[in-house]
Amino acid sequence: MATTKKRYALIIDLDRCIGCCGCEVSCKQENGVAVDVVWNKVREEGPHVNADAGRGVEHYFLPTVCQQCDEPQCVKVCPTGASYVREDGTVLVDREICIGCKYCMMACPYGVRSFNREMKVVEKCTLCVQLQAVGEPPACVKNCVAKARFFGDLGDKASEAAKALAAAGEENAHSLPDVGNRPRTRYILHAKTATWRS
Amino acid sequence: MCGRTGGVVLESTSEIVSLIANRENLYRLLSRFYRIEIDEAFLCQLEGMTFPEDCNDADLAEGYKMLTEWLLSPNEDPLTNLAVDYARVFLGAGIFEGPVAYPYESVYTSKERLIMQEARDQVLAIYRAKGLERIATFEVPEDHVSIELEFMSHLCREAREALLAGDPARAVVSFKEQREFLDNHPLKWIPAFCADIEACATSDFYLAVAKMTRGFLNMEQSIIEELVEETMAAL
Amino acid sequence: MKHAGLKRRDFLKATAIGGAAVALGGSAYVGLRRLTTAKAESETKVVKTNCRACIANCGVLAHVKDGRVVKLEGNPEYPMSRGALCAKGLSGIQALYHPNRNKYPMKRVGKRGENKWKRVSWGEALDEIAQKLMETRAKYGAETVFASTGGGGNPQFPSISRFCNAFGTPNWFEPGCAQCYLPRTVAFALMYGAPMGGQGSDTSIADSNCLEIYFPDDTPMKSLVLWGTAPSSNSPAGGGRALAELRARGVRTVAIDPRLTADAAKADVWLPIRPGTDPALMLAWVRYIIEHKLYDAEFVMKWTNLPFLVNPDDKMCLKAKDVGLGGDDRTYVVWDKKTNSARPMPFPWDDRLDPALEGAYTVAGKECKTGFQHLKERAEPFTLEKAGEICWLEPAKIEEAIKIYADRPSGCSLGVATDQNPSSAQSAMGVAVLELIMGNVERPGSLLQRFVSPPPVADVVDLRGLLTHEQLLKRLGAIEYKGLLQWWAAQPTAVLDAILTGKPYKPRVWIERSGNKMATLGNSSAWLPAIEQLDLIVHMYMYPTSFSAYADILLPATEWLETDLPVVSANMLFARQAVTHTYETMNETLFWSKLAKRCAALGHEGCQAACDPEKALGAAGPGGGDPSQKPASFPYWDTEEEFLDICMAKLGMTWKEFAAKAPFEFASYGEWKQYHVYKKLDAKTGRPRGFDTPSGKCEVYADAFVKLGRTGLPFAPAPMPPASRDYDPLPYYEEPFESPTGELGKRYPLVMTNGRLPYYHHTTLRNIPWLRSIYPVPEIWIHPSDAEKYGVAHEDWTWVESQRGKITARARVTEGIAKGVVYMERFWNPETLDTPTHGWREMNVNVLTKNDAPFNDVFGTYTLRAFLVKVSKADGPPKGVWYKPADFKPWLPDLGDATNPTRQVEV
Repeated sequence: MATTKKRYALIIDLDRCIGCCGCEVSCKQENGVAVDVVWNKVREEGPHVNADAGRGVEHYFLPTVCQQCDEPQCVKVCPTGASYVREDGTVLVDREICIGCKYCMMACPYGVRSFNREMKVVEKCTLCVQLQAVGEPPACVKNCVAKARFFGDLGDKASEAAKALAAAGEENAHSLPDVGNRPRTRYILHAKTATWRS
Repeated sequence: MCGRTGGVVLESTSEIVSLIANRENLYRLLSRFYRIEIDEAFLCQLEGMTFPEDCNDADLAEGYKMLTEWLLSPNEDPLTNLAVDYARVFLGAGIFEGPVAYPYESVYTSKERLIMQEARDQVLAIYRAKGLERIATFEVPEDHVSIELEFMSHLCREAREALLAGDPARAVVSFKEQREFLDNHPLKWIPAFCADIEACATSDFYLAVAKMTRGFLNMEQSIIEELVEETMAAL
Repeated sequence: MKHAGLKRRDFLKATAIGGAAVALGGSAYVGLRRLTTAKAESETKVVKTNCRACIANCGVLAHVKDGRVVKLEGNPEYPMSRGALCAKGLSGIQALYHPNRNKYPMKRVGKRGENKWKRVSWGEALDEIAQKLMETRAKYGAETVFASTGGGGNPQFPSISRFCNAFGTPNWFEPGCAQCYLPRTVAFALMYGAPMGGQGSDTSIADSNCLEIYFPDDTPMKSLVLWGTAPSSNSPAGGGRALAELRARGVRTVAIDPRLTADAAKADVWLPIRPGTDPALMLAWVRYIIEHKLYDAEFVMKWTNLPFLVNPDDKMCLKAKDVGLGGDDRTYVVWDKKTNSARPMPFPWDDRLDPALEGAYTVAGKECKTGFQHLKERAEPFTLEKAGEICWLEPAKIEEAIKIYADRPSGCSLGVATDQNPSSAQSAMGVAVLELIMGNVERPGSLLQRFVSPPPVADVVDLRGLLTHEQLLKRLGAIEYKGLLQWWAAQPTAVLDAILTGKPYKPRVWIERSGNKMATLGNSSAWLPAIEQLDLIVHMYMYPTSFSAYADILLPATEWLETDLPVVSANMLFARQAVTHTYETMNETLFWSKLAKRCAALGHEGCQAACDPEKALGAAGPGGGDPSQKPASFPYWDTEEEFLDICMAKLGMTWKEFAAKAPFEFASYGEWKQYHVYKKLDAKTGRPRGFDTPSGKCEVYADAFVKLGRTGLPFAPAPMPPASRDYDPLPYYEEPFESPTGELGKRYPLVMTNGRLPYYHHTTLRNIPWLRSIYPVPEIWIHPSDAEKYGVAHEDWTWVESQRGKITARARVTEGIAKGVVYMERFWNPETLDTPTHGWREMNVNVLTKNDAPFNDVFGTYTLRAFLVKVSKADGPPKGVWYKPADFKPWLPDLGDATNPTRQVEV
């Protein structure tokens, strides 16, 4: 898979995230997601007992969403080319082409794709391309109460995402398990908050 | 059938006009059934009406029959009973789950089953294009069943006036508008709405109204097609 | 096509209704009319308004297209949320446009509980209610009419009190009040002295106080204690956000909470305290702070009443003039070490004196201890070990927490948890003591502040002056629980008992103005036999709830998107603006006004006075505070607009002008954020302003409570008969009545607590699909060791039982709850509303809570937390409740053929 010129991604700061689920609902409002479908699901890691932690237990919230992989498995398995990577690195689904075979849903290691029963196509987080088009960040980033989400081109040092990542430092930036798909999304988590277990 | 001699055209035109007038009245009647509860005055008026015994749609026929029977049968406190049914069936009073017939297109066609969704915006634009708006004192979303039905009666009146003014081409345009509105709006949801009324109404009155509504709307496509054919033949 | 083959004549016959044309007659325009506006194009605008899904009032930008709200997002101008908007606010459209909303006034048909309704006009509804009210008053007395409200559902609290005062009934209540916030507003009002609702008057984050936390780049705060409060849950966009920012800047936090909330999970120290034992821990903190001299010695000496000598006979601080030492009303007595004698201490200070802070001294033949000595002795038994034993905590951890708190500037925020059990007063006093002796007062970094108050524009004035003293004395619970006087409310259990026993009189009419009392009242089942005996029950709310099932008249209330009201945040004024209106929903400010006017028309003198510009008395808001800061009382209004214009009168603007200008600053940030107010010189006296307490000092030895219990002052307009025993001027600890260490603990071994969730507010929003799908059923959090002991596994359906009742919950086995403690939040199930349970019996923790004695001595608080339960595995979920995605089918669109009535959905 060719790497794109830009690498748009979300950086999510788990030190800050308080699990309010505002991002889940922002996304649904912005993108008309069905009641029983969630593109951005807030999960929990823990509590786990950890005697070394100051408070004795560890816990963090983990908003899971399309990880915008550099080697997206969903694109690889798509028979029609409906799943594709845009120039800015965003992984998208072209509804016109998608035939709803759901191979991509099976191929995704994180289960972040869902099936739109009404239109009979697969869908997922689009990094709110419609908001990007008018110069605004994704809805989940805008509304995040703890200002824990950052968006931008990881290749551009001046972008919010790149700045957040740089400020955190490599040892505090984590990714979900990589099975060759090279997820681009990073989760910031300092040991002081909790040990990364995802 | 229609012919081209003056007399035959006149007869068929007047029957066409009557048919449109019937539809206009039927739409207005149905609209009234849903707009608010039945009151004393309206009940009296209903008692003075006669409903066709003979018609070729099962729903419509049964609806007429049920309504006629209801109007004839003794009823201790008809207005209260009907009001209770109205509140339960259309306003969802005191319930949250269970069959309800919320009378808004948006509830039936929107993803989230809310009022004031896309459907409302669409019909709002359609009414406006015709120089119409909802009255200020009836503060319901514009895709309320009674408003959509009333709008159909307006469109019918336009066609009727066109014919009376000797402009059949204009009437045909109107028929097409009626067909389009019907297909894109009432027919998209009102049959399901009527099914919901049947699932929760306790009075035969509203069951009758549901059948009449569904029967009539289902007939409308054929009626309009017939009207278009006949009017075009007269051009 | 179905009707092929039919022709014109067939259609004619089928549609020919005889007499229809004549009957329908008249105008063709009924629901539609010709366009009145010249412009008939689609218009989208963005309206600045404020949310009211909870009490945080976050700024909202509402996108409105042709009168339809299409999108909501946060308004970055709102200082507390800065553009954030939580899941509840974001779901505002779903709440506004829910098809199930109450749309028109409804009157019951048939018997109560049959759930049959018919629409009536507002006029009919108001007439009927007013008639009944007047009839009841004539026959039984105005006091037999009572009202209630609550925090959920866009309430306008003072409206209820105002109507009741005008009507002459002393009785209204909230399931909150003595169980929510009142204990803290009173404790801080009496001990710190700031008026209720002021800018920094107490340390509640959820109630939009603690303003210092919202400017994280401009505060030297180093540590923050979250005592029984979880800002991430109670105000995610405001307090939750602020905490995230403070933590990111290195502020250390301590979370004292049996539950590992999001804030506890990020705290430096988590003290999973046993519910109901907070005063013990607070006294341990006091003891430690005194022992290690961590308190602010200068502040304690000069600006609190702790050096003052206390009269052992009446427990009040000695006044110099009472022992022949002269001086004015603010001159107390200290023991001067220099002269070894009792000397008068004028306000604010006498440099010639060197008062003793501790000790007991003989004055006028009596042994008098200093306030400090009393406090020290009260705290003495509470060593770290003792507190550890009582509170189920590790002493070393307690010490670690205290040391963080002692790293000043610091603050201790106290939440609703401790308000919800009978130690409510003592806990509130405990935190007030801590904050005051630490000198966490009006410094940069402190939570207690007197930032500049906004111009008095907000809200309804409650006209207390209209309630006669005679009627006030009839308030149920008032004599015994004088703390209720600050909010001017009655005690719920006293009302219940009066209905059931007829003593001292029998209440008969209930006007309820909030959500679901069956889900929020303690031991709510106890109300059923009372409800049966009431003559009229009115429920005004946005949609039907369990309570509606028992009502006679339902009234449709406005959602926040349909409401106008001024909102204050920090140094700014905002306008909540209605962006639309549906059906015949009404704002309660207008409802109460119309009801009062109806009663006035029927001859009610009090209501007439409330409508009369001359007679509506001035400065009749909540007790205390500067009268010039209060809006003038004004008579009842005829329209919302009139009411709003009067609200804005002090700004010299109409509502429309205000809304166009809002938001704006009423004071610049720099002017508003004033510190050390107590030191500022009062122009009139030339002396420092001090604090708004009788002594001018912070009254850590709170003898104001003694006076309150004996007389009702300062909250009662005139002295009242005393409570049955004196209130204590200091916090004390008493083991919870349902103690795990007693006999009951053998049968009910677990201690129950509650706590908020960020996706719901009280019992609201359980009918909103987006939110309900996040948390469909209440969880019971149980520690793994307890789960194993009682045979419950993660996600098991679980029976939860107390001495009052039995419900179901879904088990969450977690290390995030203290051992021996379980947690559950309030819940009701709208989907079983129209069944015999009416949605409140299945999974509602308030079936289990306790509403009888013992109550808190000052406030009459009953027991919503810190009572005993037992758990066991259940077979399955209660009948009809929604918890699986498939259950939410009714909320899914019908994707099949539009004529298919069965609405099957392919999943």
